[in-house]
Amino acid sequence: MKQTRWIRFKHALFGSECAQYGIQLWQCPGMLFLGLGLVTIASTFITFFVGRQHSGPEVVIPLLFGVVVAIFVPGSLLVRSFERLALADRMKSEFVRVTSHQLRSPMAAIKWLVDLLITNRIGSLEKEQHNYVQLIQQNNDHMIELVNNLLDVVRIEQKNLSLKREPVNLAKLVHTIFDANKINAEAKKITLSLEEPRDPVTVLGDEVHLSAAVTNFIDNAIKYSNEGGLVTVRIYSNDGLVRCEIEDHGIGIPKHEKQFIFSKFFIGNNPLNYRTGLGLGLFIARATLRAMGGRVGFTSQEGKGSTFWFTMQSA
Amino acid sequence: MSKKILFVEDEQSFQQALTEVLHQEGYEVLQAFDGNEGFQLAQKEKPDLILLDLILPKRDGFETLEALKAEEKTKNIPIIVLTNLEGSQDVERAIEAGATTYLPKPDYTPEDIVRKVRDMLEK
Repeated sequence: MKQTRWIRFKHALFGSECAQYGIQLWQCPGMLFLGLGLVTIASTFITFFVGRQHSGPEVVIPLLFGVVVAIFVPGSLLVRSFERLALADRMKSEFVRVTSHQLRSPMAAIKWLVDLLITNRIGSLEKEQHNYVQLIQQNNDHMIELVNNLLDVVRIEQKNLSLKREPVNLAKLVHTIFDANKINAEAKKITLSLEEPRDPVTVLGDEVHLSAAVTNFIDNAIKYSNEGGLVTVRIYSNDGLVRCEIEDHGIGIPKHEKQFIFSKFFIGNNPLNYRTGLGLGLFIARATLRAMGGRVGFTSQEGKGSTFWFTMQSA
Repeated sequence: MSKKILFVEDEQSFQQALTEVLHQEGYEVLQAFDGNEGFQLAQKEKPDLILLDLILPKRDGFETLEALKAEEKTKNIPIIVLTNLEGSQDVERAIEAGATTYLPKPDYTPEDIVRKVRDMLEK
């Protein structure tokens, strides 16, 4: 554990981007800057002390030559290191563009063709055929969602997330999400409840991404609730600030997992998490809410339940 | 007289699926499989609406869009861009070039697109 913390500290100090792109620590710009600095300081001292003892050109010229070489070598390594990082970054952007088209294209084609079958545009399907085609549709929609999540992660890391700023009625958004989750909730006999102020509450944000974030919180609340449980969404508005809480009384989050809850690709050990996704939902939810100027957090007690909350400026 | 829609798309699956639905909804569909063909057909037939993919052979969708908006005969035809690209720069570039709206293909079914077409033609 101590060694892991030391490695994390080193990478934090010298740029976690190097680790991300598989660039070794000694080739990282931060490390090379430090090396260059030390070489420059050492060269200065050596030149000073040698210069005090010997002033003849037979000593000074080779010394100066040595100092120039000593500074030039880490300097050129530094430039190459920046070029390597820039190339890795460009390759990542290119990966996003290529994936965007190559992976999404066949998935979109399947979506369109399956839609024609489901809506009986190409003749009617028998009941059992309809069920199987619906399963294809659900799995394909899930794949599209996974790819979209991966692309969102890259955009978040490149600070390239494009978000609209428009007024969004928060209660209306929650009602829409409740409707979409009605079947899942009913399957576990879970009651979905919304407590809102009398006056409509509107926030400034990107409706699509805000909806995805709130859907993630509500989906998790339902998933981790026990049968017959209650999931409550509360909306408060005070002094230009809106707070939204999503509370469940389910299994809660174990203490040792709390620090990782918003981490990328984190999937807890709970058997309910088996095969549910890539562990990106909360990472993306927090990043997009923060990008909209909001704050995000949670409280949780194992065995008692969790409350996820976020705040945003009202419109 | 039924409304005429020009669908510029190189991939057979998308062409076939959306053309089928548009036909069933009573629209006349003109098909083009590359940017040049799309531009020429638009000039000749003057459709009521154009559905345009962005990744196309011979002349890409952006260039085709710009050319259509620069031409007197076609500059006022509403254009819906249908594409798998979703980057914000692509969206901005398409809207700045004159697209009326931008629909990512994985997020919309043919039924959704026909609804958008109907709404736009009724305006």
